Amino acid sequence: MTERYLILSDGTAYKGQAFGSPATTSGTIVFNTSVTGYQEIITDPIYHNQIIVFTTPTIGAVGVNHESYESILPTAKGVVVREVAEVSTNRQRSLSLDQFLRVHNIPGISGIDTRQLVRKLRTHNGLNASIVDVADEHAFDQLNAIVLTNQQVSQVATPRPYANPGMGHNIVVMDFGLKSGILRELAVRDANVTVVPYTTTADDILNLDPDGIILSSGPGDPRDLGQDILTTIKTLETRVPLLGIGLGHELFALANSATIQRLPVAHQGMNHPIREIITNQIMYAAQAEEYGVDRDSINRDQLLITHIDLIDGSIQGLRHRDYPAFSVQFFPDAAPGPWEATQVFDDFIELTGIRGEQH
Amino acid sequence: MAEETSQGAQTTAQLATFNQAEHSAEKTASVHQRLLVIGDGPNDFGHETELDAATYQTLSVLHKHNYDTVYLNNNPFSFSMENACGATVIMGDPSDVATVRQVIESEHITSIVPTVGGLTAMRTVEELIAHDYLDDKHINVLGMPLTTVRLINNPALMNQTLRDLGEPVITSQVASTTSDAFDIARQVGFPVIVKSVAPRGEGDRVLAENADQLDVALSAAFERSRTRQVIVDQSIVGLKEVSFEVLRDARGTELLLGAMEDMDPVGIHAADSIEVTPIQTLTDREYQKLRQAAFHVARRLHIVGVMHVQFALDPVLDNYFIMKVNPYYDRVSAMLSRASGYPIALVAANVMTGISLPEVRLSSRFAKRTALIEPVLDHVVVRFPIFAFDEAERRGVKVDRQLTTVQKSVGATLGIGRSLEEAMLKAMRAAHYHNRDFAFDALSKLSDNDLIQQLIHPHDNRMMLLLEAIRRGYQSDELAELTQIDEFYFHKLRNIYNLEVDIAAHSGSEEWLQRAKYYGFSDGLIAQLWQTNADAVMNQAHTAGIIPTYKTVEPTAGEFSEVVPTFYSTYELENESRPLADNTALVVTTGAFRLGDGAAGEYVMSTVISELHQQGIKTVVVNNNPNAISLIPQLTDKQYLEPQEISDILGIIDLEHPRWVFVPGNRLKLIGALRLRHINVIVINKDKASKAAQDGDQFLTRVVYHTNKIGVADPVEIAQTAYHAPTHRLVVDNQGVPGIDAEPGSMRQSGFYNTLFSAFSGHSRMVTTALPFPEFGLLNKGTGINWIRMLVRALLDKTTAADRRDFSQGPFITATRGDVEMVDIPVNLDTRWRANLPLAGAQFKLGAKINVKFPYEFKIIN
Repeated sequence: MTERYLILSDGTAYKGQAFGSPATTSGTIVFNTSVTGYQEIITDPIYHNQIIVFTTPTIGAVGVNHESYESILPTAKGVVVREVAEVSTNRQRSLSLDQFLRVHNIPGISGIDTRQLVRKLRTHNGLNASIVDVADEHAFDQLNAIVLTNQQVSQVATPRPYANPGMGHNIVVMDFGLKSGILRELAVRDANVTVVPYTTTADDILNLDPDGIILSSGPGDPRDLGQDILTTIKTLETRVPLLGIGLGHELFALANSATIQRLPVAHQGMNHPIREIITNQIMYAAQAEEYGVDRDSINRDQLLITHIDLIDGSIQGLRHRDYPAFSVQFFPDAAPGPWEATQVFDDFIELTGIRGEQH
Repeated sequence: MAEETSQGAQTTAQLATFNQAEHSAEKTASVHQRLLVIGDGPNDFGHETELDAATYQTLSVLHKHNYDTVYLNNNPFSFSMENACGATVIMGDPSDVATVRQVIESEHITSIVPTVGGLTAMRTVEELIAHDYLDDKHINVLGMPLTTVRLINNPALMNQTLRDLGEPVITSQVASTTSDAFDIARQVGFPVIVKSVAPRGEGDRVLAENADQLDVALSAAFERSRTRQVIVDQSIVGLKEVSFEVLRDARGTELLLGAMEDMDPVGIHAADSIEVTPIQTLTDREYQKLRQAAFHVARRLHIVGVMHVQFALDPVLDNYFIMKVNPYYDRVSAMLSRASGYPIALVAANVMTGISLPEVRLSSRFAKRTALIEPVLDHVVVRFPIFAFDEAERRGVKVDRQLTTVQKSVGATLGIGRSLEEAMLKAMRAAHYHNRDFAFDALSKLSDNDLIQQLIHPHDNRMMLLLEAIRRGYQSDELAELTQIDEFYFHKLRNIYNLEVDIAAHSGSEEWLQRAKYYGFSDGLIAQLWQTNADAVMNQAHTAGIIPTYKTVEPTAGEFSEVVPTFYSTYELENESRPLADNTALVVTTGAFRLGDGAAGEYVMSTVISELHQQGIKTVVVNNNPNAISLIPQLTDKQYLEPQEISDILGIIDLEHPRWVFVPGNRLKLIGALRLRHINVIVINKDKASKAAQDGDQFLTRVVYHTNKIGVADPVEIAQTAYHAPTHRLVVDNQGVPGIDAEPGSMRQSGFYNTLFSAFSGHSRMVTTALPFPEFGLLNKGTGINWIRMLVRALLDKTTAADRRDFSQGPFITATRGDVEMVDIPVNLDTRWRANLPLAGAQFKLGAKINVKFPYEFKIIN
């Protein structure tokens, strides 16, 4: 068992045991409180350039499964946990979490007092971290010198369009770091899907004659993506039913002149109650948010708040007053996460259906 | 006798008259709601003090919301009856429909709370419904509609309902004759599971693998059935067994409180299984599917409160079956509440009264709206069952130690850690008082043949067996196939085995000591491996600064700053527990139940805690029994969910520096070790229940209170009892038994003692012992004076003038009621354990009840 270190940009070092890739990596460190779904979490492109701390004490117990990939090439920068189990459940019984992380060049570190770490992270936001062999001055210098890119979306999103055919509604997905769950939910509803790069113009998208458009989830700060995308969204929302998810929700808000704030503490998990205001129903969903829509910035003549997180009060859903366009901050694809959130896709398909009838 | 009976009748008559007067005013008071909380009745297999704990919490919530509440019970070890938070307490049998009807009428009950009285209460309510009694009286049931109550005791109807919902259930058919049952078995194929329709007592599920076994199972099942019918189920033995617990409010908000997986497959009763939370071996998809199914069922049954659904999961075929639906508080609720710190009983009580989940207000210890957060853990909790087969074998009775669908365990412990290894080792350690049960080489002499047999048909010692199999080189996948236990657990057990080997090879190494501690190895185990003694290991760890760090048990995995004062130990960087105050008492409570007086012990020690609190002393409790009432956060200022070995207790003492340590009198080794270290131990004296009296044994006792602190003649006689096993009776002083005299040798400490006299041979004195804990139940319930609290006050030198006055007024039995009887209830151990000889005697009892001729209002001077 090899000893390695997790070092933080506040100067602390944690000794632990290495698993996964032996590479040295750096990234922003965030924690996720989900009890299940480690594979989905690690493979979600929103974790691009991030080191993920799992609060659940053991991961790896259900191996790596073909149905739990949220992207084929995960780009998280590291995994921190108390214990990792080496179980293979695939047919070849050859792919434990440890091996999987090796293949994808993601280092892991176990044996960490993750509870102490999380208690620190919940008050020190935006720390960077590295997983290194030696926690010496040099390692800290390297960590402190690191400049993390703000081009995460361009690094994970598809560079060219592709189709995921179905017999139903014609849906265009703008890929900002798409996770497979969104495609899975559309497939369940037999949608005919075209995934396009996030830089695709409104005209090119409209030429595909979509019944609906989804702005996918993705990593990073939406404000770094530039004005052109907001203009595109503004054009699209007036023409075609639209659903924004995660980063897509934040972009939808920005396009409609709301502002975005970095949250004091990033929230990642699936146990917060979310109230749907119109029905007063409470549901749970996977959430992974570092940014949120600033409530005071919302132009109430344009946007309606549809969902609220009852714990931190954050805005979890918006709807346009004039157009069939809405968005959710949480992840309605339930991969991982509670299934009641998938209702959002039913609502979306229903909305596109209305448009379909108008044709 | 006659005199006492008439006294009982008189009181009831008075009650009735009083109620008559109220009745005439009914028109104006017709909107007034009066709730009846149906009690849990006597403790039994699978019924420890978790229901008493939930009742106490429920009564406190009802009190807070100003409900007018009546609580009916006859359990002598009920803490809630003596601490009813303003409710009117009626002494009476909650399982007897006539009694319940009488109470409903005399007390003008408008609503019934059936959810904290376990299956007993559900049955009673079902019987009330069956006669349209509740409808006729316009009485409603809180927590669920009447139609749902009806389903609970009718598996066939429940199965049909679930099937109509589209939820998969096991093919299950009702048979009224043996030949019908055989037809069904032939049709679905052996093995089958047999259970009774509307069983008397706890219904058992019995596995029959062939015609002979079916024959035996059928005769027992027909016998137990109140309708002379049995259910024959297709067997799903070998599938993965998991439990999901959900909460639903009247507005339809649904919340997953937690989920637990059984390491052992379907086929071993869940209570006998090693259980783990959070769930370890389910994918998110499987987990969410079952969560959804549990919600689906809760919605259909219109549950307003908690519900536990037990599933059998087939990971290969990716399907599941619903095995059990419990829409009331049970051991799973208790376990998950302890495991996460989420106050399930409190929230369920709020929700039951119609308060919506977002409106539930918890104490300021919790972050705002914690009631709405689905609990997540950053620790692992293992529940380990306790089997008491050795006690039978010590009496020369052979029992069948194989684990089956029939519950054989008598108690459980929990272990909490930051790894499964640590949690598992801590739970096992809490379960075994003696290291010899837990020696790594215990099974080295077992033949390979026997080993394989026991892997396939596991016994109570299977944990040691699995480790032995790993030691002999069996591979994880082979073991998973033989045992139907998920491979993950063999990876973990192999890790424990590897650690064992490495630790043994590094005797005295500080590095390995640190590592051993990190993974939950106790001083005793390390000492075994290093061939030294536990004290030496403890001292080495202490010198090296390898000391436990305590982490909070709270439901948000560190996301929020919950200041819940519940802790477990591990060996990591940060210690979150800060000492309370100068004025602190540490109370060591009963731990895991074995046979005998576990419930009585919890009752006595919880009363001790409550009195300490009353006296303004901060209380810290250490216990590891998930069902223990003493662990509920309402009773103490701080809780440690820990094993109770000497080093565990010393670790807590080192941190808390308590002024007193209260320990039950049977923990001799612990008491000795603490006194050796000049720790101020206060012993709550006790003796084993009634010297293992056999049914039919007879003797008389005089119960005395010995203390030099009350300034009256010492010892003082406070009661006499007549014991004709299994009945204990408080009697007035007319038995002609010789008086007591102080026996200095046998009454060293302040406390209660009883002198036993043979009922024959001229009342000759047999022995004087500390009063067994169960007798406190009889004493308190019989006299209406809380003797335990009085004892605590005396031990603290805080005896009051009222205490002294009470003493000068004895004998106490005539001061209140006449004839009060406590009867040990029979436990069908013989059949559960397939004993070759009857297991008779108080030693093999688990619970008792107060026999009541007429229900009457019970009051106690605390």
